[in-house]
Amino acid sequence: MPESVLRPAAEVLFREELDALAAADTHPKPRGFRLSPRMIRTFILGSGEAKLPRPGGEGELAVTQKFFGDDALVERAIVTLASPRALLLVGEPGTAKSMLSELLAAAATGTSLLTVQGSAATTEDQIKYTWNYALLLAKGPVREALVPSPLFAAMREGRIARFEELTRCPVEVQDSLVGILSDKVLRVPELEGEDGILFAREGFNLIATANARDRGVNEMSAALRRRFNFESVRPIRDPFVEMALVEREVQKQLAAAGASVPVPRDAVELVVTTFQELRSGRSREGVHLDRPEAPLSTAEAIATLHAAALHAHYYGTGRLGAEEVASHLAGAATLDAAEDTSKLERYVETVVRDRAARHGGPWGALLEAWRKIGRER
Amino acid sequence: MNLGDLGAPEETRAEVAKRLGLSSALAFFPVRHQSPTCAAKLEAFLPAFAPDVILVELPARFEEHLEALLDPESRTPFAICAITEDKRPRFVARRDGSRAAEAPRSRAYYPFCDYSPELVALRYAKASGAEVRFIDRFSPLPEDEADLGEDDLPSAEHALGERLGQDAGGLFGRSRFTAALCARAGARDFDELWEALFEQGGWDESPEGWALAVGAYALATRRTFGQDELEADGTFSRERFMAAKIAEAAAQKRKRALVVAGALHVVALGGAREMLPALQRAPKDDAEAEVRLVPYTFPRLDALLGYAPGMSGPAFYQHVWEARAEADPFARAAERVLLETIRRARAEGDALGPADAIAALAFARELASIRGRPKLGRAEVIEAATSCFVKGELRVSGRRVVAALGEALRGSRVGKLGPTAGPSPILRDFRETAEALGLAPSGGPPRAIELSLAASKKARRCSSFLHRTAWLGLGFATQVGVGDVEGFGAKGAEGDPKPQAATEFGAATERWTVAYAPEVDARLLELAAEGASVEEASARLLVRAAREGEGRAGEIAACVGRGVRMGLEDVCLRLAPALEAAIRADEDPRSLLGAARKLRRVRALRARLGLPKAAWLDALGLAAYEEGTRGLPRLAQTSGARAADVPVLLADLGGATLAADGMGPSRELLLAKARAAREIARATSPLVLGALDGLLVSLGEGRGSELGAHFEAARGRPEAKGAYLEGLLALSPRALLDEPSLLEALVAHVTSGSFDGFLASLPSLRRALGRLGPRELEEISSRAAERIGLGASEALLVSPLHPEEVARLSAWELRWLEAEAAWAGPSSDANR
Repeated sequence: MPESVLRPAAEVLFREELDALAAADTHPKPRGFRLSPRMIRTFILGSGEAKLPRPGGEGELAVTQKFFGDDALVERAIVTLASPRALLLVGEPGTAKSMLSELLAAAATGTSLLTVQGSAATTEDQIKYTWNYALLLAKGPVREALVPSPLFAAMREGRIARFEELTRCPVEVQDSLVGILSDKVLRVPELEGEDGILFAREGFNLIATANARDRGVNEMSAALRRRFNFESVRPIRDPFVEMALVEREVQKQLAAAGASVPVPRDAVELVVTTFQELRSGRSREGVHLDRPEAPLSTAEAIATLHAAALHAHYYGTGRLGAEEVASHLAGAATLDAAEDTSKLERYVETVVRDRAARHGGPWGALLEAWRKIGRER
Repeated sequence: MNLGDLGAPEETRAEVAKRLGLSSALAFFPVRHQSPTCAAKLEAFLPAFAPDVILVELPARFEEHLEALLDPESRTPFAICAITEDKRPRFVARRDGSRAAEAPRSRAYYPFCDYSPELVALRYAKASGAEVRFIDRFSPLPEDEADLGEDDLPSAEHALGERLGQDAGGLFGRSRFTAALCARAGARDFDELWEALFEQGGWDESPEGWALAVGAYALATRRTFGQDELEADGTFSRERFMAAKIAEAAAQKRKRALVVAGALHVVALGGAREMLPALQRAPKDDAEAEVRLVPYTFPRLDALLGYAPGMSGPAFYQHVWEARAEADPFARAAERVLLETIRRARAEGDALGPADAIAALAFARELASIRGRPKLGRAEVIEAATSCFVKGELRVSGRRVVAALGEALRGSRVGKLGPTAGPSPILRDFRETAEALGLAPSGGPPRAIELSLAASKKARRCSSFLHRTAWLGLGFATQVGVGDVEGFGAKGAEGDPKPQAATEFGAATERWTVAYAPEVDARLLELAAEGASVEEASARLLVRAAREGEGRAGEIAACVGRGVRMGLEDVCLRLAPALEAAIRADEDPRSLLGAARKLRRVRALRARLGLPKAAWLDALGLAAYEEGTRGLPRLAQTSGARAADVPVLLADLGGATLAADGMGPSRELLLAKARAAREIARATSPLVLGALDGLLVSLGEGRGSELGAHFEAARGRPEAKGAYLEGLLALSPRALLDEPSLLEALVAHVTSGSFDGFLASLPSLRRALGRLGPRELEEISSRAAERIGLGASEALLVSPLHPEEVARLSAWELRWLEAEAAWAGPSSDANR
């Protein structure tokens, strides 16, 4: 992989871990899977203190935890993939649905790249197959002229396909999946004989994601819904887990961007606590809060802190302080709706002000910075 | 994780084996209450060990109920209920009417089901002729371990029996050793760990192997607690008592004794076996308590809803117990629960079938496998069902499945007591309380009772008691001369849609009739499992009714009103958080304003009953009014028949704001939202538009010219003008007098429109004007007469009667005229 690649695929990024897990795997594997369910679990949730022999025979490695907050959800997702039903991950934006789907696909069948990106403009051709029209005109409908979709390729190779934002597609387009998921067969009526029928090989399955803010899954046809097991992915509930994750990811992203900005624990706590309280609609003191329209997810917290740190790096003192945090908090809260700003303002003028008065410290600094920004606006 | 993975070193296991002494003359068998695997292991161990004496960890003073516990006609679940004079205020009268009648009391329950190891031991003793002794000292359970009641309105997770992230309670749940094991085993809490290790994980073990493993876990757990902790929570005190009782039994020569007690206790007691002969006799357990055997229910046995130290999902474990002769009773139990879930969900409209059950069962097995568990357990059943049955987001689409699953896991079985147990405690409580209050039931005709609530404390106590009996549907008391205007009527018998009695909020005097009928006892018999007293059963049914409100603020507020009526202030307080959550979550302004109105009336009632001001009630009322006010634009979208109650709700909202007594919303908020709502109502409903105009006028904000224009603009249907006027006058009765443009518009409609149009609008106009008093009507008709140039004597006659009354009278008049014509015979014209 060339160094200039911004974001390598999971199977590339974690190749060493996947190879180590495969070498150590003695548990039964579902047919077509590269790893057993237990090892897929370890790949996603980490090996803890346990270490595996490094592939190639030199030293050991610990498998890192990649998904946080709900181990049982990961186990259920793996079990679904080993069953005849497909998996649909539903949740708010920024809850790591796509990342989980990518990790699952990479660990189970070796690739996370067989992906269909759903949108209002997605057509049935993009889901099944299309044609190389030059060849089609030259040779007619022959196998050579068929351009397989990622789903077609997954069926042919016995891999897991991914379908991002399934519910953004028109319902009638979504329904083209019913036959594939039900019979595990894709028919190409233009081709004759055996070429006209593609039987999915063992290992094939589908992971779809659906955003709870988009058109709901209830608009999916009942026939298609029956082909899926649904798993709701929720924001991380434990503030300490979320803080640790945000801190780790922000530091990783800053290092990748070449910005050596220390990320103070206080700043992480301010952002994570603010996001957690606003999305739950209640402060830890029991104050009722208006929930913003913006998702305020863990991913959003990471993006907010990352942007604040870059701000400090390029325009500030190189130290991430309350002023940068305050200004990027306001930006995060106005992503979806203008009235979210007033909700954040109410939060600051009630919860933050109260904490600033009681404890001072970072909450006092945040209040001061917020008011300063307000005066400048 | 398997039993072998406990991590206990070999010397610990040897130490445990020595302490339990399972092949010695004095053996200790560790148990957990309501554990089917433990019960099965004990059932297998007992005939092999063949004890002469069985010593059970139950309070010694309960021994007198042994015969009743083993009554062959009794059916589990049942419980020993110990009532002690303690914390919670209630009144239970005594025959002598002494002051102690008001002593605060609390109850602790010791439930038994078929898979209670203790009951297995007792039944074996009865069958084998072994002697039974209860060895524990009675100590009322601390508040958090006592029967909790069904007072936690369960969320979806609770309905499933999840209590993830919470302390399971007890030493096991709190120990650092448990936390470390949970982390190693990937279990989310103590319950899941216990199940993985000792229920499905221990099923294939021998009784001795199982006991040793549990003992090793208990010993390691116990070692994580300090002496001070065990002394402070009463563990040592109880164990000293148990040791003395065991010593008495062990002193009997040539008898094999088996101690059946909690795992944490047996490892300590067994370790002290050498010291037993030196112990003095156990002191007499003379703690004051009234002990009774009562029927119990599976929902209360559930660790989440009732018996905290127990296990969650009693129906699941009952299935395990009933299938204990099969190779995999957990799979059988899972199958039954999944099929039952599907049956219940289908009845509610979910499209699930046997194929889903098969998929879920396979899913559960795979899940258990990936977790390294030898058999599938309750957690896997729950997760398999939610994954395979819920087609959408769990909290949105899973409501019915989750409810069905919760019920299938929990079950609804109700226990029954055989004749040895005597009359039920609730029947005794009913009779004693009624007698102490002078309401003793007699078989004669109904007795009239008048209660002046403001004048007498006793009258208020009588009122509470009568309201409780009415709520329970005993058929004993009927309130006279009131309508159930607020929906605070009685619960009645299960499935009975008709209220047994009604209640009103306004009167300071209540009138009742009371009468005894055999149905009273029959209903009390049905209610025996709901509590040991009328108060407890009323509270339980009230909490259940609030839960059945499914988060609707109006329903829960009605329950709060009933609670105040029944003198269940503490229950009302417990409902407050659920009501607050419902208010915050409820998006229906009609429901919110309805709830606010009820809460306002509850406050008025409390004031009349002389109860002190309740800040929680004011806060809830304010929240409901504010949320309802914010929803006024949505309310303005109401039309048709659903709009009929909008004027009443808005009138109450306006009243609450003008009263400025801390419960109503601020005038500014109301004005802003009412104005926004009015813009919407222009296109939806003239009745709602009129009511909103009336609201603004009553707040001093309406403009006269607008009212006339709105009246004129109300077209479309013939009744539109009347509807507008009806809404307006409901909130601002003087609008026609104070706003000349409105009267002018009305007169113009009457005089200058088409006669057919006027006739079509007449019923609704009459209904609107029927709201006004005679003086107002007279003044309006005089002014209208003036406008059209008529003299006072020629003024329009507007009847002050209600329109329905007028219609009835008109119909009567018509029939009279027809009858008169008939009596007069054929007219001369006809003869001609």
